[in-house]
Amino acid sequence: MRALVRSLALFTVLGCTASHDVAPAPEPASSDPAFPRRSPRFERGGRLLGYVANRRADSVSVLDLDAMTELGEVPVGRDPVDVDGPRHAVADPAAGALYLVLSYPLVADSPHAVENNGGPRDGYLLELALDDLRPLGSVRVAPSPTELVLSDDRRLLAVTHQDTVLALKNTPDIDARRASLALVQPTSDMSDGAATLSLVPTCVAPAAVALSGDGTRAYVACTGEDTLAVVDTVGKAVTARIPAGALPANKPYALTRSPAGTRLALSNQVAQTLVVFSTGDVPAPLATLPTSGVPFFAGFHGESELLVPVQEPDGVMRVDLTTATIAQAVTYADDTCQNPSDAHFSADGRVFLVCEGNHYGPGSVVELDPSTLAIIARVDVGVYPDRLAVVEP
Amino acid sequence: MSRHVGWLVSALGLVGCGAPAARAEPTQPLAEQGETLFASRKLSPSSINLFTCSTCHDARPSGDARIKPGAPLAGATLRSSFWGGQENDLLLSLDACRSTFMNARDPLAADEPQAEALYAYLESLEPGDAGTVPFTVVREIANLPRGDAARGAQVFERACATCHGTPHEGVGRLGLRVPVLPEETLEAHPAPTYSARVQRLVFIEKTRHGAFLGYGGFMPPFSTEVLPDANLSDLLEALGVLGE
Repeated sequence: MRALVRSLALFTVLGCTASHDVAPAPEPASSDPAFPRRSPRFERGGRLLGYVANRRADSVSVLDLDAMTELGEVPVGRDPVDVDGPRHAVADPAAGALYLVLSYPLVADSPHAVENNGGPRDGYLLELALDDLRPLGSVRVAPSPTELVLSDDRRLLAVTHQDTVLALKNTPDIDARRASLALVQPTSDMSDGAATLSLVPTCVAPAAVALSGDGTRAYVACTGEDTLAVVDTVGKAVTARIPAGALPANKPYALTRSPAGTRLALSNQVAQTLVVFSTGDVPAPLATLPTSGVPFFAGFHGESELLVPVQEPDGVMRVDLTTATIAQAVTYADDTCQNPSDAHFSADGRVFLVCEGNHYGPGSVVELDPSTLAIIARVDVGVYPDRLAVVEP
Repeated sequence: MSRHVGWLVSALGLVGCGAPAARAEPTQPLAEQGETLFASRKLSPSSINLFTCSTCHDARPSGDARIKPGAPLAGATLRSSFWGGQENDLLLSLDACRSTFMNARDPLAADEPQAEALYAYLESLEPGDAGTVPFTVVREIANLPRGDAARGAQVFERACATCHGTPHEGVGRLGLRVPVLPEETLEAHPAPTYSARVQRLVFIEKTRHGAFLGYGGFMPPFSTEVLPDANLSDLLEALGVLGE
């Protein structure tokens, strides 16, 4: 290369028609590229990998779920001082991308932070490279982005905004309190902020979201309206609002969809119920199951089984969807799995559970025995882990 | 673009065809170009940028002469963590400085001539301290005990004067937008809207948060490692920002 450069320089100089008195050119300092990236790479190598965003550590833990070890904890975010609050990593292995949102929770106590009400700062949808988590692009969304989901065809990302500042606005106009659902086409160019973004006013404090199989409908758990909303992602409008439960106050929060797209599992945190809905234009409640604690993100095993994490007391419940009954329930001590929040079945039937911990120290991911639901392995992650993204071998 | 091609483009820029027939200046080696850049505002294209790298960083540890908010840069190319663990990539860390303090809109690409020159300079400083440099940001701003004014005057000279100039007059400050301390900051936070106690908290907040955590502006934050609370107490005493 060095010889080639010298030749090119000589050629260029000799090719000039004017006669210049040219000083000798200096040697380049090094043949290494400037600013080589030294962060670790996470090759899949036939392993089951897991990615967890740590909300209070501004990092993503990358896990080898076969060995149940942490391969690395990589800092993420746009602000090197403020808490970016990364939430819910979602992987797209085919695109080599990992998506997450930056929520910017209010963490500073200072005159200006209070004066500015902690912002509210706009959040960001971040695209990272799956192999080393280097930033690939970002899209500015609305304040308090909370959950995101990628459509089955990988052509649509949907982001909720559980904006409590907006939700608590003192106005009789409910539309003024409604936050949006952000719809982003990940195939558009996110590298220069030019991604196609639509913000669809949806409901008060939308928390979690699931997409229909074809991505044309988004189902949204509306914490502040006690409803399950349906958003037409093509027409970009809310088309239905269904009561989240039978009680006067249910407080829907978590929402997941079955792999084939026939069922939704909505977790009502005040009512302490799990409501199973059909999918379609107007989802119908098929079963309402009382939970032994505050329910979080349920994991589907096919279309016939659900595993529901609960907190206070901490544990999981197995739901048989064919009979709409609770088939099994176990509890965990704080030192084994504190504040379980997300259950996940791998393709080969292994079961993983995110344990948030106490939100000020490390959380963990545990593997459960699929039959007994006993904890059989554990790996510590960062502070306040969010949901688990699993990349199959 | 490789560094070779970047150097070539740079060289060709000086000896390009059609240029007036004049003796070309010898091209500086990359590392020297980087050293010049280290002390130049031109690392950002912004016309309102007042900072250079050297405003906040020493190239090598310089003893107790100046208190700078950033770490010495010798060793930076070997470090695996920056900004107190919030970054693991040197170029992203540098771009955080450029965008936050130097008002640069676009990130620097590794194959840009400026990046190549700056990296060559950083490499020329090695081997430095490759260890992670602690950088503790105080998030929750609380009042501090009273300090010593005489010691505080020395702290001002070592930590504040480069940017803010002399106390009360601002002689030698970086620019007119850099406030004269303490008067212009107090004017921006007037009584009775801001009580004397909150005015003192504002000074503590600005020193600890800089442009971050809701304050704004271009000032870098001073960590507890480079400016312990006791030094900050002394500084407030020297400025007469007593909270009373």
